[in-house]
Amino acid sequence: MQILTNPKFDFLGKKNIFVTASLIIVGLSIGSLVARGIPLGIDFRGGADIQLKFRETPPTQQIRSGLEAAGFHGVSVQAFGAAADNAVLIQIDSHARGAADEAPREQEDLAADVLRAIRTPAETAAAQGKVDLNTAGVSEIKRHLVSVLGPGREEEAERAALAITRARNEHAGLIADLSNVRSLPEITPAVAAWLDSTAIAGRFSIGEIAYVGPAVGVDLRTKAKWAVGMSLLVMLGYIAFRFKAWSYGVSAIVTLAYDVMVTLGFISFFQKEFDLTVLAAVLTIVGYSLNDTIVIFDRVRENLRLRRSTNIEKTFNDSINETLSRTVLTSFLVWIVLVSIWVFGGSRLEPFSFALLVGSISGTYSTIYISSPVVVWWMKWVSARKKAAARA
Amino acid sequence: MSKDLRWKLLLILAVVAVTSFMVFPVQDKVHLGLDLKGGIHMVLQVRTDDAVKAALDLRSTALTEQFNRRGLKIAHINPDVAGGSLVVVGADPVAQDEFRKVFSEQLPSWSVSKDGSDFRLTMAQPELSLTRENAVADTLERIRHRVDAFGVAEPNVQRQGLSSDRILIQLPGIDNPERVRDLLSTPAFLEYKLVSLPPTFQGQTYSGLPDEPSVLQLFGGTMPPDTAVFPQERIGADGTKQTLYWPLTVSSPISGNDLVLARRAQNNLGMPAVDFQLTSDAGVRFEKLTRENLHKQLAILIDKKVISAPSINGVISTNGIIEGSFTIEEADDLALKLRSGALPAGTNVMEERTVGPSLGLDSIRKGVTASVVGLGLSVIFMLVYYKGAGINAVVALIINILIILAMMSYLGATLSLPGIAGIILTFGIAFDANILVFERIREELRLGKTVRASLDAGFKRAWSAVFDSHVTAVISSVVLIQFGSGPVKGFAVSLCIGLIASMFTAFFVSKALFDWRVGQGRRVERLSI
Repeated sequence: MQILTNPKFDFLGKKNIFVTASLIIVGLSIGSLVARGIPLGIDFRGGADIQLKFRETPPTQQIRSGLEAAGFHGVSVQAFGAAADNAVLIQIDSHARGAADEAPREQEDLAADVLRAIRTPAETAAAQGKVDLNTAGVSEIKRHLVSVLGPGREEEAERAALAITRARNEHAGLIADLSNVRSLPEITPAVAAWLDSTAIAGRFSIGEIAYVGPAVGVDLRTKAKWAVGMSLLVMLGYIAFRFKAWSYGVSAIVTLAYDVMVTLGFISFFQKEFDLTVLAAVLTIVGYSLNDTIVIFDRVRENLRLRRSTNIEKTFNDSINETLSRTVLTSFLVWIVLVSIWVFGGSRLEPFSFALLVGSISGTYSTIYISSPVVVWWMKWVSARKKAAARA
Repeated sequence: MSKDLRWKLLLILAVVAVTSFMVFPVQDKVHLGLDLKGGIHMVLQVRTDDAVKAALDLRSTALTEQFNRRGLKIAHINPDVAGGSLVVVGADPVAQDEFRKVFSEQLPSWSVSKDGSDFRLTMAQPELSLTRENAVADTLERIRHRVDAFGVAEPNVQRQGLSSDRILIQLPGIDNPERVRDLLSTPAFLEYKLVSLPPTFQGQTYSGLPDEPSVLQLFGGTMPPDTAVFPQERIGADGTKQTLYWPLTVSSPISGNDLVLARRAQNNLGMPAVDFQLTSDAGVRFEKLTRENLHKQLAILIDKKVISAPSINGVISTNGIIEGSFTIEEADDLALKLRSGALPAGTNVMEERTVGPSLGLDSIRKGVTASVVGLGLSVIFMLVYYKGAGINAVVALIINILIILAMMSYLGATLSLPGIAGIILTFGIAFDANILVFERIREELRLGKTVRASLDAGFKRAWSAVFDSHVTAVISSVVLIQFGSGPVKGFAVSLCIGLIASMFTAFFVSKALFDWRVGQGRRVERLSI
């Protein structure tokens, strides 16, 4: 099978149109970054993220008012993932309680306080002195059982605790009713009695709790800028070294900067949260987008040597055409895998795969319409200067 | 088959055998990250200032004692933690030389400077760094003890970076952050202090006052010199937090360093308590203390907070009991903390993440679905587009994945959700190397070269592009590996290994498979590509 047999597109002939288009896209990206900004994820923002899974549609309004009543402000409560998941993400600023100089100890108990605040008074009363099987861990359940069953029956307690948590996992993390676990073979009469007297099945379970101190966020922001800057610089050095010309290195960097800008612009426009995984995506784009550029530059290098052609623009056009089939195939394959992560990878990977997808599409485009024109202009400019110098 | 080719194929088989051995059974060999398994990830920052403060206080006490003994008058000594120095304020100007003599005797390695009429004594830089360094190292050591006693499978406790003051703790399968935080980040410094009450209070039991001024009132407005106020935190009858205040003697004859044993026990009402055993040396001191203060109240403090203050009903020597309103769990944890020894400095929680086990399972399911779909689609594409050669690419990819998982298991790296994404991304990048080679071979074939010559030229010419593009991608993933811990590192590690493996599989493995198929000596007219 073969698509694109011997293509002869005049890519660089229309370069002015595309360079203009690219500049407009970059302009829009910067505009979006300035106007809308990028919502920072918890890693960079600091604060707390709490992901809960409810049995029914999450009562976002009640959660919000519960938190406000407990003295939190600047709280965001929103549905998370697919509607059928009934999951909710609660995000809290690290200064949600207003005071920046608050004792660190109290900041740490943020997540626990939030859980307390979103329980209704009736729930709190029902939970008094009871064990909530939907929020308790294996070790917690086991400990309670051991204290009830008495010494020498640790094994029985552990088996029951494991069975209960396994059943919970099979029910997607949320037991609807105590009868779900009561009939398990590991539940001995003594454990069943404990279930009846002391256990309850609350209406939500905890998916994830993350607390990041404000100092960490500031730290990471600095480190992130360094990491992106450093990797761009190292790339510049490597390309300049391998291709023995600054023109290639500089154009590779211009291309990468374009890709990073466009990716950030899209993240900002669609208001995706910028967390550590998105940073990983951006750095991967820096490495990946260079792939295409290098393949074309490599062919140009070879053609300049073999054909001794002096027409730089034609050499670039030929090289792009010769490698076009590869560029298209590879990009297509990478897009296939990225789309499968995007669609099937779940909400935790969504911003990450979105960034990679945007970056890789931009990377393919920018190789042809940004890095090549930059090298051509640079080389033409150098040779024009040489000619001028020779004339003078 | 030539000898050369036979060796190559054998080597490939060996790689497959070794990596398979390292990878299977997958659930035992590949460690899942906390985001997939569920568990707690915590970063603690050691307050090394605490250790410096403690060192300064120790010196300050020694100096005061010397000044008193020699009758030298000062106003007071101020510790300056940030600079690692003590400021002796109001030193008697007449006895300057006497002071300098005390300093050089007591603190020979410290530098002394004059700050107006005050003396500033500064700890030598190496000693200061060592104090901070030891605080981190000791804290790490004791936290490790506590984690071990906690009984977690595959815990990870390490310093974040070589000389940082941060400690990274990862506890898979644990999902009770409040308890873990309390267990690992509180110093648990035990002290015994006598409740110091005015004579008017004789015979009554003191049980705490709600604020400090009322405590001061007890003494008619001025505190006795060796007495200070300490808080007690408790949950009141109505479920709210209350703080009560206690006047206690400043000195404490018994501290956590004197313990040899601590374990959960029951008091005589059957309530959970912690009993402990003291060193024989401390036992003597304790006996003296209890004999001299019979029927007075003795407060038990953990981290400068009053736990309880029972009356001394009899002489106690090496065995004691700590009572408070503990649950079984709290008593267990307190005993554990006391056994492992107090942390030399307090800690701040910088970061804390808890992932519930069901969320982890859900992520594994999604990661596997995404991989299967991504892998399936790209494999179908390669087979349809390149037919016979596509098989090479697929075999190369499978070996690539085996190498990634084997290296991760060898390095003890954990597989995180972004790590799975890294592996999926490797599918794309590994096929890219194959596509570059295959397209080149097709070009050579179109130029009318023989199959053999096209194969050789294709591999040779594609090499520089594949090499350069892989190196740049490796560079960016190495930058990323430097970037902290956790899931992102997992992504970078799997991507990095995948890229390096891809150079091997796309060139060595795929080339050997072509050579095998084309054979040697025979003339081959057609190549399935």
